[in-house]
Amino acid sequence: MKYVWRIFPYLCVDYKAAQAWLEKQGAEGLRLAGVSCRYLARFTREARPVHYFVDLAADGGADYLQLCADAGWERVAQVQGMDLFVSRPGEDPVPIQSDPIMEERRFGRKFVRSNLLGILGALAFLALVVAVMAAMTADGVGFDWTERLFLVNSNLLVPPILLCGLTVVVWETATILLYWRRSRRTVAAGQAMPAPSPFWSRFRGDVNLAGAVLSALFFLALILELFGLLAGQQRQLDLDQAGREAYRACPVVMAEDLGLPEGEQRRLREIHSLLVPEYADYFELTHTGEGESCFVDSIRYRCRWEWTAELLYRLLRWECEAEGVSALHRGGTALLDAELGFDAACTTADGSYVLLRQGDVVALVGCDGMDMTAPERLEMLWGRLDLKEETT
Amino acid sequence: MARKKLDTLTEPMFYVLLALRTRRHGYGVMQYIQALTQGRVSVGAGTLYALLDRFERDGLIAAAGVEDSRKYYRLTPAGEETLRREYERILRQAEDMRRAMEEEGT
Repeated sequence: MKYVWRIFPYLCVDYKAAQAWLEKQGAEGLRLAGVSCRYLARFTREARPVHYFVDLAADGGADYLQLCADAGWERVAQVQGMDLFVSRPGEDPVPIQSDPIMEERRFGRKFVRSNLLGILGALAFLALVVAVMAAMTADGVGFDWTERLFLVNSNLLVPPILLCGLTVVVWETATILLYWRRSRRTVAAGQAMPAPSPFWSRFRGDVNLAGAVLSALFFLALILELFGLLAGQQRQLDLDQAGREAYRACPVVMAEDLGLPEGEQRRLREIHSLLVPEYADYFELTHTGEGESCFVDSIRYRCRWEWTAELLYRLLRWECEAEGVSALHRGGTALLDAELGFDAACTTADGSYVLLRQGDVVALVGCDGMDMTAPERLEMLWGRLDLKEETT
Repeated sequence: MARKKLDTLTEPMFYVLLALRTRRHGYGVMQYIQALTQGRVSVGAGTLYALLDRFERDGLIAAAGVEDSRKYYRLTPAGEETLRREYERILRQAEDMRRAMEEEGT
């Protein structure tokens, strides 16, 4: 059987708009056969027009459906808290809800109260998630926002999913209250339950649909990442497996670049993600000429776009000031703006750590006891981090 | 909290109770009302189902069997009394209207 497919995104609060839209399809002879995956309506073509009635999902059982069928209405789908009924071709039965006052009271009793409680619950859950995430960024705890947002591909979908979800929840709450008020006034004036704006009801549903699609993509991305099938490969070198030349090939600052002896321990981690095609995180334990241990930290991001690098620089600065410039400096570090010849730069008070942005590259480099702002060090950074002068 | 007693009936309520003076199922009630009022009063399936549910809980009607997924009902003595009182109220209204029109000479 050949079907005609249409998107059916309507929320339950817009059930009268859904009915109006279905009536338009019915006028063209499209008879609803069912709704798949909550959003895909499939129709068959009839020689004569059909009518539709959309009602809030009923509590009745088989006897209720039999009564509706006897009266000329077949329930073809239950979607998002709505019952979708269709008439036989060429017939125009009495609407299922024929008393507007009873229908409005049912809407208030069945829908408004139960949904407002659900929405309050959803908002409380969102607030709890935000509170937990905020608490996790407190001093000494750390959440690694930069790594989670920029280096894990699936997390790119989280902000738009949250935006869609929050938009729908807040918007739906307002819609429910306003529509209920409008319904009570319309019905008190002796008219039928009003239909919401076709445009805005459709738009609300489309935002909800977008959130559902993004959520599905997010879970798909999680699965693909679990099996290493999505971009975001990681590579980690250690001293036993790779010679020093393997490290020199990477755009990171090493002990010898700072005039320090080769370290006994080092680690390099590289990640390639959608937003950051090149990420290198290098760490080396060495010692000064006086025999004191010191750590060389070098993190470099090459972003796909310059605006991403600007955003990353700001986020990284915020993270450093809240949590510290490295694992050895937990508890927050004040960073001061510095004119070092880069597009943007800031340093610790003693100049031992510098956070910079040049074009699409963001880097955080440092070593305790070193002055990273000295002219020869800056020249080294340009070379080792493979920074490019801006051309206009 | 006690349910609010039905003091007066709406037109659909009146005709539903009237129809159930004889044992009928839901669609039979709809057909009876359509025929009796010559199409003037129509009760939708959803509205009727809600009314039947309410009347049954208020004790005005009682279930009288199920056949082929169709639930049958009939009026109880309390329902007969409610219907009779409503009928008398309507008669009094009609009588008041008749006297008012006589006094006005229309």
